[in-house]
Amino acid sequence: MDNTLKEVEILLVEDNPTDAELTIRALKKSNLANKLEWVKDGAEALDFIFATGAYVERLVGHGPKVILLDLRLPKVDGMEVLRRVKDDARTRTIPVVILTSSKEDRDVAESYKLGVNSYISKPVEFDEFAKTVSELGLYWLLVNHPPVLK
Amino acid sequence: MNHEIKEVCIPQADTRRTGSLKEPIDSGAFQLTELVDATQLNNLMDNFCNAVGIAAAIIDLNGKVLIASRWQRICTDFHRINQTTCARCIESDTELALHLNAGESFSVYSCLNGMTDAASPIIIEGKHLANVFVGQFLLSPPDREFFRRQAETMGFDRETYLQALDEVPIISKEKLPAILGFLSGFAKLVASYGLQRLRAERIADELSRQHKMLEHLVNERTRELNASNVRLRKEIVEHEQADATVRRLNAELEQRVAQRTAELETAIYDLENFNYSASHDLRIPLRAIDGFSKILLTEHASGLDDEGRRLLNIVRESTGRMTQYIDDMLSFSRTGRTALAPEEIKMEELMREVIEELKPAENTIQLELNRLPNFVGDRAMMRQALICVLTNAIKFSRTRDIPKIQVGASVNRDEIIYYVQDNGVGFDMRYVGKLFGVFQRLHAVAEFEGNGIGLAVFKRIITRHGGRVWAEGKVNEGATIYFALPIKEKNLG
Repeated sequence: MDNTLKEVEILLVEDNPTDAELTIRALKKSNLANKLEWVKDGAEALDFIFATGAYVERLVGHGPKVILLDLRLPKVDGMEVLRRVKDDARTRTIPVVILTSSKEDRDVAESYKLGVNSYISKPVEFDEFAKTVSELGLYWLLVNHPPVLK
Repeated sequence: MNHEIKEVCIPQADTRRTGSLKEPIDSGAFQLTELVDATQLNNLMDNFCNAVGIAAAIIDLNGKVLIASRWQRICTDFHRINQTTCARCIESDTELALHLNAGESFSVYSCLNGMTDAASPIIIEGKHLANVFVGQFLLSPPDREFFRRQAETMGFDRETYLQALDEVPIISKEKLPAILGFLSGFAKLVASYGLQRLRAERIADELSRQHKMLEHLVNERTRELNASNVRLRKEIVEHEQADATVRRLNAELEQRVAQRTAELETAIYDLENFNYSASHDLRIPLRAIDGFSKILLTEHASGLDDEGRRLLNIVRESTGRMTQYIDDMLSFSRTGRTALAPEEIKMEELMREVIEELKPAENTIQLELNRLPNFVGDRAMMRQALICVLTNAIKFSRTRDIPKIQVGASVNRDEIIYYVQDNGVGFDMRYVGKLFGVFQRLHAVAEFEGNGIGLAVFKRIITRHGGRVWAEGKVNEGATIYFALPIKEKNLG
């Protein structure tokens, strides 16, 4: 199966490999990381979401079930990715969770203005971080009931 | 014809008249001689007297003969020379004048020397100025015997005296009023013209004087105006120079302000960027250190001995402290940057809420919360400030058997002074200056946790509200933290 066509439930947009590893590790512990795609910048995230570039074979509107989005990203920053997702009718229903180190009020405010579904400030302490990530994975993949995709 | 008036016996005028040209003109202020050309009038009277054949004179009220015409030799050469007869002449003049002064318009008198005189007043504008006399005539042919005797008695040369008598005209009494009326009317007419002329002259004089005075005044004012014009022009120039200087300084100032503002904006921008980076980037490696050391401890514990685990735990504790430092630093920086949103704060309620939140589970604190006035300020910030100051009070008094915290306030003219007092470990007043400093601690970490940011945040919040903070304390005898907030701030919300 083509790697770009696999079914993806979680799109993790994170440029920092250590943060990405810790996040993936925490999700794995709850068995939530099986259908996870990790992209390392905003441009790659947009390619995946809108089926362009390396992901041209994909279909827009077929997942993921949730996007975990960092804000400070190379090429295209997280806020721009969020804006594009929420601006497009095909992708607007995909839940976007900002998962960032920033606690800045302006980031929180701006994210909600653009239509973010959740804003999580990554705890520094690992146990807490692992708990937070696993909880949000469980919530968006299992607890939350998304609209039926056309 | 002898026009010459012999001065010998003629009473002299006692010049009572004192009026001068400068005085206002009224008819009482001048004499007849000033109003008429005496020589011309005299010539006219001469002609008239020659035609009528009698003597006439105009004599002022003091007896001074102003004009005389065709006087008879019998009077000039005899009666007025001899002392006795001259006295009679004067008596005659005086008698006539007295009648006229009494308001009569016509008076006739027969003199003791045997002549007849008649007189009429010259009245101009109601003022009696002089009298016209006609006299030295006879109403009927003379008693020559009387005159012969008089020549003997007075010692006159009889022949020449009688010759002079023969020259004396005989005038019928009926003609007298017409003659006198003509003379006095004529004199009055001439004098009236003279008065008009005099008045005109005086008015012209006065006008010229006023004109000169006016000219002088105008010149003086012009000089003054010129002087003040020069002064004003100078002042205008000075003003313009000062204005230019002010404008230049303002421009410079504006430029400097703009420059400083730009610099400050850059600095703030840099600072905000730094804060943003700090809040984001500094956490990533910390999270990695903490996360991977935790994974090492849990998933690779078998590969570590006790010392290895102890060292790893120190790494993790340090990471925690570093995280706390970063968070505190950011929160401190945020209290300086966030805009205030003032509202009425019920300080008593807020204080109670914060204490409730902070008090330890096994609460033994003896709290005395006195009445606190409300204050208009940013509620969220004030809440944080109260958390800082109460955390301190609770922390440093928890070693006491009975920790006591007292909160209260007093109001002076322009500020509300709140205080939080505890009976804790207190501090040495020598180090009071460090109390509100950033990351300044007065106790060892082992003794009391914390990184010394609380009271710095507290101070910054109070200062941003226009207030001030200070503290009193003594080692082992507790501390009191004061904060004063301006009452005028109440006008904010």
